[in-house]
Amino acid sequence: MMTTPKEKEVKKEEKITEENLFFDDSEEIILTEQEVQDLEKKLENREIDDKTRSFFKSSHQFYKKLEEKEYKISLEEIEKL
Amino acid sequence: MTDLIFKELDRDIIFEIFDCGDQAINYFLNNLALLNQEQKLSKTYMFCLKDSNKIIAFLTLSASQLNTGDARIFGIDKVPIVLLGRLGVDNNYKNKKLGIALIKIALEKSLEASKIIACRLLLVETTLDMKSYYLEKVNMGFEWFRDRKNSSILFIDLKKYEENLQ
Repeated sequence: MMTTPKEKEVKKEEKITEENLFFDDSEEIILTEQEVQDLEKKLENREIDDKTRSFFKSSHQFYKKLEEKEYKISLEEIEKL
Repeated sequence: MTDLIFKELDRDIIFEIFDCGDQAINYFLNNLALLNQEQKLSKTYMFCLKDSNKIIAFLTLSASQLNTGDARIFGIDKVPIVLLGRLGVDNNYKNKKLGIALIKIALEKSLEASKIIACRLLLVETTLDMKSYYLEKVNMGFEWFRDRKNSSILFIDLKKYEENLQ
């Protein structure tokens, strides 16, 4: 997937709202040496806080539940996430 | 009760009236998502209304890489990643946690992919306004990678995700 010129043109005019994500991948990301060092440190760090661990577990459980229900779910169930 | 179905994008979907408030994301869904999927360039998943097949929220994933330039990270010069390229929630369905549900799904789909072809990170790009929301207000495991002019690139370490599921 590549961001097209048309998408970039449209992008300049729009207002981003919460719950939307747009990755501009029209240019390759090349890391600086500092970014490489920083990223390596972050990837070596195995620590995680309890809230994030809880989010990870809930993500896994949510998807398993979705699979079990053959990908049918109510909007009300999602609102309880 | 509003019944939804989660599935891959297909030609049966009604998406002409989808509006997430972001013209670029609307444009992608309406013009490129299916084409890209059929060309195996990206994969789009969505929640749609069971009764009408109308799409109300979607996300798009694709394989990509981070180029480490002249440096190496763990001995390699390209870090394989999953790109969460687009995520949109229809304006009529905002603030119902569909965005969070899609990020949870993106994590699981990325983890599945990483078990087959290996990929280390899930990458997203958000506005600078929303950066603190993802990094501080919600605990989704996002870490900061780089700021752009009007946006910020964040990632979730899929290895860390996998290690903390039990």
